[in-house]
Amino acid sequence: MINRIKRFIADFFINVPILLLSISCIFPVVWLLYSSLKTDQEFAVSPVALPSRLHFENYADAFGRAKFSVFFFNSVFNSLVSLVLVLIISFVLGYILSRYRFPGRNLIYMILMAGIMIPVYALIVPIFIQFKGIGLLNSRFTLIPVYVAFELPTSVFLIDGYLKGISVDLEEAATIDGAGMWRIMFSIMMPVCRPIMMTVVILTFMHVWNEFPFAQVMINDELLKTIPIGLTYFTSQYMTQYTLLLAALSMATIPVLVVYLFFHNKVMEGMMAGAVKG
Amino acid sequence: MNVRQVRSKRQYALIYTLVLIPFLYFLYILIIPLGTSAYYSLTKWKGVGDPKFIGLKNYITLVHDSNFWLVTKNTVILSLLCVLGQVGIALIIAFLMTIRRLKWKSFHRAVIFFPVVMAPIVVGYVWRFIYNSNYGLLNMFLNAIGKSSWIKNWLDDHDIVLRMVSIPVIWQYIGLYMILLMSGISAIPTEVFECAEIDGATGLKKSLYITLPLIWDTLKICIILCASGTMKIYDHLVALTNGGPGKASSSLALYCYDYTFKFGNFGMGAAIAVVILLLAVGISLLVQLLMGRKEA
Repeated sequence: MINRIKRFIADFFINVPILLLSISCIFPVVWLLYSSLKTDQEFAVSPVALPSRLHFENYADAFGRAKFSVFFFNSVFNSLVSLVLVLIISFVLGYILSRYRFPGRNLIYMILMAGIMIPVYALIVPIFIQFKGIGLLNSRFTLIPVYVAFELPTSVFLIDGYLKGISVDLEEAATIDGAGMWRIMFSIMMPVCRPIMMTVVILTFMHVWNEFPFAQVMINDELLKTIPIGLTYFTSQYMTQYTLLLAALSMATIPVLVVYLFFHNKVMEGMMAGAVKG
Repeated sequence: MNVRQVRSKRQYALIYTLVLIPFLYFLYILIIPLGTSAYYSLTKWKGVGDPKFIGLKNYITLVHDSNFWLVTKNTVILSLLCVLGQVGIALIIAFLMTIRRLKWKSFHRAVIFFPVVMAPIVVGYVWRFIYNSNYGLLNMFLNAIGKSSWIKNWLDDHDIVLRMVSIPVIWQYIGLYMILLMSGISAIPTEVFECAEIDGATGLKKSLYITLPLIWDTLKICIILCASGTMKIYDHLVALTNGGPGKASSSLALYCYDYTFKFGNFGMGAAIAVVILLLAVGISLLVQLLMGRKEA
């Protein structure tokens, strides 16, 4: 009996703290989502109560006002274009660096991996100056080259690591059958690398979607700003319309949340690789 | 090794083209600014016209700038708080996660990691709602448990604001270090634990004397990542306090932004960027040195 009580107490002290932490991690997100469906009056009465009726007007309102639809479009555009570019460039680079040994290969690989350890945010000022010099500030394609370059080291690292574990037999056979390098890369090896490419896609999407400092510094044009910047704009203008602001915050979070719900294992895997490679 | 032979001169040409184009582009975006950053830090430059070389003058101005020391202190304190909070809590959780009696492990893992993928700026704004003095969840909660005397303007108080802004940052990244440490633990062969259990090591003892030394390298990586990562803290602060009140919760990155884009002093901005870089590297080396190399 004493043992059972002891066991129960031990279980309690193991399970409860972690459960509390888990709840604290999920609660703000859940609260954000349901509060964004309330009216301002409801929110003023009680910030934690559930909405009596679901008011999707906040979303329509936020989307229409303060150019949020523009911000949303820009974020989607940046994410998609960066994704396609990162996917192609890092695959070609990762494939060649992984499969072939040529003079200079190790140096290139080393510099690329060193890029992982550079705290990129310290580069805002010089990159700004550089882009100003070539007149690439404030355009639809200002941020994309920066984001693509940031994602390359991790992506190449992931693809190289994945290819190391895959035998070259398939490629050798294809070569004997007369397939050229392009064919081998894109028709044969790219499908083989699908799992790791998926990780690259998710990781890139998360980073680009959430990126704030560069977007803030390098874009001045209202029509080119992204969601994170839009949020700062939004808060300064509508700080008193809480539910509107919450709807905007939800819109910034929902895409990431959806991706996470479907692929959380891949997300963790990618983030881990991104963190440890240094 | 899964390596292929380069078969012809043509193939060499193709390989070099395919590698060099993206590589030069990468150099241009990431590596060259590293050098130019150092150069601009030695110049007086307002963003237009030609930069004028002035040697170490920017750095000398910084050394005499009390605000610079304040934000440096803030950044270092935030870094320390984050290492203690993020890696410390993550380590405890990673240990708890090894206990068989813990239920819903994969649920906890997925949920605790989720904040990591949220935008830091969104996290900042959500926590501003939590801290808000009128309708904030924190004050409401304190009211509900009858501790209304504890109610404060959490983000307007000079003395506590830095600790207050560290909480969302810690909260957001516990998951990342938890996952890293858990993967470190899962790489330990199970025989090691079995032997330890046969020898009578259980619970806390097992964690401290068996697991901890075996994940020492992972722990070191976590601390380095966390400390050097917090050096460039920016998004959270913009959303939470914008560095205020005064400069009480400002960081080096925020100060760098102000100098460059508010005051238009690019030379000083570059100098602060160099300081951030050096601090990040310095801290990494310091951690390496302090934690030594315990081979697993």
